[in-house]
Amino acid sequence: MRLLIADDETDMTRALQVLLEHEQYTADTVSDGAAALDRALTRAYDGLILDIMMPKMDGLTVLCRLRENRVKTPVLLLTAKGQSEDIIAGLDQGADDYLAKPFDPGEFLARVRALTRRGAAQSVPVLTAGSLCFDRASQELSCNGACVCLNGREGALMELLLCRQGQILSPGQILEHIWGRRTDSGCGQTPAKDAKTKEEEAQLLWTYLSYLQKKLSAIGSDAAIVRRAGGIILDPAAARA
Amino acid sequence: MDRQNDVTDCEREFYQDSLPLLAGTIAEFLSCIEAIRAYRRETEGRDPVCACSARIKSAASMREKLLKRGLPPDREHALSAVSDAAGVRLICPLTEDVYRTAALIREIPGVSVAREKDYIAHPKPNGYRSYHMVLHFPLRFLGAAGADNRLWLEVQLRTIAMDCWASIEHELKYKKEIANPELMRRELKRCSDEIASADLSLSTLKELIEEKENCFETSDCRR
Repeated sequence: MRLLIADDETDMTRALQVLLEHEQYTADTVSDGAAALDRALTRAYDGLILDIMMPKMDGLTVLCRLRENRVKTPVLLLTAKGQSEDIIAGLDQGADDYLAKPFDPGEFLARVRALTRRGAAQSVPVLTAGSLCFDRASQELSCNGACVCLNGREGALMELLLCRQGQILSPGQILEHIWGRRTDSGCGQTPAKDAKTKEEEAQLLWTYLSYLQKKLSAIGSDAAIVRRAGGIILDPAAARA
Repeated sequence: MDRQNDVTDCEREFYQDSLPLLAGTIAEFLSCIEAIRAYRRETEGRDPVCACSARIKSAASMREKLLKRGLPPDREHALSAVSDAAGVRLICPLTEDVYRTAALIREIPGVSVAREKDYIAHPKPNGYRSYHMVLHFPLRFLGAAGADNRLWLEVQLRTIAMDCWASIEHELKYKKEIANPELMRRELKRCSDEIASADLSLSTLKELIEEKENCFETSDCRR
């Protein structure tokens, strides 16, 4: 599970990151609201932990913009004591929970668990793009009666593309989301070996995108995977164009 | 070529002197297929067909079919009202080979295609996938006197994977006393969908290998 922590107190973000990683979460950190909004709009997270008081953009504005953009990722707001008006505003604007600083690490982790559980439970069983449907449970991709089964990785990739349709996803973002931390750039590797790994990763992703595109065509879907500058998107009507 | 059934006295008695015509139709069609395969091997370095089998429908099975349709169970109706007295099955490596071979069959001079059914794009509810063609085949070997004579020939094309599924499904369909037939039916359908998916993945890999099309700049994959 991948989470984003947005807080300008670097000691706090570092501590939360360590805590979450100890519990097997993957946690990214940013220190201002604008960066938090950018990350949350362009990457697939399972949960967002937003401090309310942040430079450039406060946590409530970030939350508001995300919900305006129909990003429904569960949000836990971190507040200072006595910010009850902010708590009310945050919950009304679509936050899922809040926690007042200072807090107990155990309570923080319990709230994160509840947050990500709710996120999973709220997931719609069938994702759609025009006449294209993907049943998450059976991993069946169908369109006007024609149907094909996807395997685990293909299913996860289709799910990501459907959840983020209309958004350009970079190859790096997709690799990270579907295959997890395959390689940390250059970490203990020679540059030549690292370049080879990057090439293999790019080839791997291209192969899986090609599988999906072939299957979309086979069931007569109008949706197609399209290359754009900086990455790829699922265009619900590309095949009709 | 694999012959699926041996012609017995029952078939000789039922089809009478039409029996060699059915066998001749099959033989002529298969010789066309062999020529197509040899030509493709030579020009493309690849055979679009990996196995052929043929059969003349057994007399018992033909009688049953005609009676089920309320028709007299005789030779005339077997050759005029039913299109699968002569049948050929072509097994292809991949889905695109099925469509390519079907396209080549349509081009055989003098052969008209009466019907086609694409059960690959539109599988049967049980999961059956194949491409069916009914050909109206001229009996050229009879010479000018028989130039207007034609017989039906049913051709089924499918991939190795689809054939594997169809063979097992056919075997299980006739088993009696299955503990949970509904579950088995659902699971057979699921297997067929998974096999179809694997077929498409194999086609994709073939294209990627042949085209060597790449992909993303490796710098795109940095995070």
